[in-house]
Amino acid sequence: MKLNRLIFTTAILSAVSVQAQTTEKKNQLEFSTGYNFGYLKNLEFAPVSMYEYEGSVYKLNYTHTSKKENLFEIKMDYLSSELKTDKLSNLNNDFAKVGLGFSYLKKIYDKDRFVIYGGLQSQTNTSIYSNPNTSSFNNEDYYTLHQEFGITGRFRYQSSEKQYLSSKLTLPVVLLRVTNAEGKFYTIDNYQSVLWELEYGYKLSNHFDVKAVYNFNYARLQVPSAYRELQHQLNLGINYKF
Amino acid sequence: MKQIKSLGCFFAIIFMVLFTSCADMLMGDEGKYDEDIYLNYKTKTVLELPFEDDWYIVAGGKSLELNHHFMPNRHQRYALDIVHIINRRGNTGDGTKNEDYYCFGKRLNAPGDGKIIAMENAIEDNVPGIKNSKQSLGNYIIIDHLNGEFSFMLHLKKNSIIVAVGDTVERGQQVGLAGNSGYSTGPHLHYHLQTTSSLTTGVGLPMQFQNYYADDVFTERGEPITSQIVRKN
Repeated sequence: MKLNRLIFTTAILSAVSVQAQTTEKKNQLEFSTGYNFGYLKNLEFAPVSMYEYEGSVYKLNYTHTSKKENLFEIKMDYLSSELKTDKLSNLNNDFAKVGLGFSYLKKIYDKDRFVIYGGLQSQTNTSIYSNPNTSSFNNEDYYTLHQEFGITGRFRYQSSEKQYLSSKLTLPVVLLRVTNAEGKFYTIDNYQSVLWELEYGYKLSNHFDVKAVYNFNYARLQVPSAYRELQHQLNLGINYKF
Repeated sequence: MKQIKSLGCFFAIIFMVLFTSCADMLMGDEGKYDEDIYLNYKTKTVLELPFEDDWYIVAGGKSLELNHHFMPNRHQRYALDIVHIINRRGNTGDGTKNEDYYCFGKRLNAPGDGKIIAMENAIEDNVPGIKNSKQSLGNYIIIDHLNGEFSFMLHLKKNSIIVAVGDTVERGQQVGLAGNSGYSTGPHLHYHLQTTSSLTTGVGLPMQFQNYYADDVFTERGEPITSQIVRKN
């Protein structure tokens, strides 16, 4: 399985060749789909040290570029999968996750082909763990809602008229976590997270780009009922500019 | 340009390989203790069912399918909800009063030897169907078995507890009466075992009782599960 992942990853990333592109349109709407490789520990939910989950992920993004070339981004994503563990296979469970993110990025550096942005991000993730075999007596699904606020930065390298490379790093600093058990705020003392995105874009026409994106998402909540989640996502998308 | 291309690809692949291979490190070891408990735990305390006659296991067992306690509270993952039944029924009348339930006021015993380390005895019993969310444990007893295991008996009848903090109790000794206090919709006993006396840091433990009947089958050592009828002898 790990070899397959590596081959898939290599194939996607081998397509990346660095040339250049300039974006003239002010709005971009992007739809992408890809594959998620995830790992989850949630001791509030089950006594499992590490679940693995894989499955398709779908994303819809909107980006507005202002007159001063600042960016306003909205990102939605959805994935559906099954939490699996070989060790305790009777505790496998269906899992779905929906995310909604807003970020505002101000242009802080622009020279030659490099542009750097800095700003703030809000990210909301809702996860639903549903078990079709639960009895009618125990018919409540378990859910978590994570609302994060953090700082974010993006750099973009335009290597040719047609191609660019972009990367975005977000560090959440405050988390509001609501579960079936409780709702509580956490700061960086207890909650450490990083969201990293590496994106390659190729201009097809004045209105369309295609993209290949890698996402690395990691979250660690240091509480007695430990929570940790790691995601690698590989996506291919099409971008409509207007 | 070719060099930049190659470097870009090289670093991207290195990042991917690193991130994939370091999943174990990033996810950490927390939870392996819980897995071991789930798979291998043997109850240290000699436990017997804390009541006489027939009781029905409303919730018990080691899965989401069987036991609604399994999540989200780690400390009561393997808890039991149990009601006293007579002729396979839990109540007479229309069930609108606690007194309609055979369970209400039924004698409860210490399940194992130990020391009472916490209790509450003054919380009103609920009207059936209405929960007290503010005092969720209701009237309760916590027994320290002095071996890293702590018994929690919850939802007891108001003013029925006849032991005090600091008392030593023996297995089978009466400690109170079943009730309907706290986060409870009807008279029942909630019983669970955990690693500490704290609801925050305690980890739930499977409970193996000794010498009881489950659906009329003698069990020398076992864990009651949902829908079984159990009795001590």
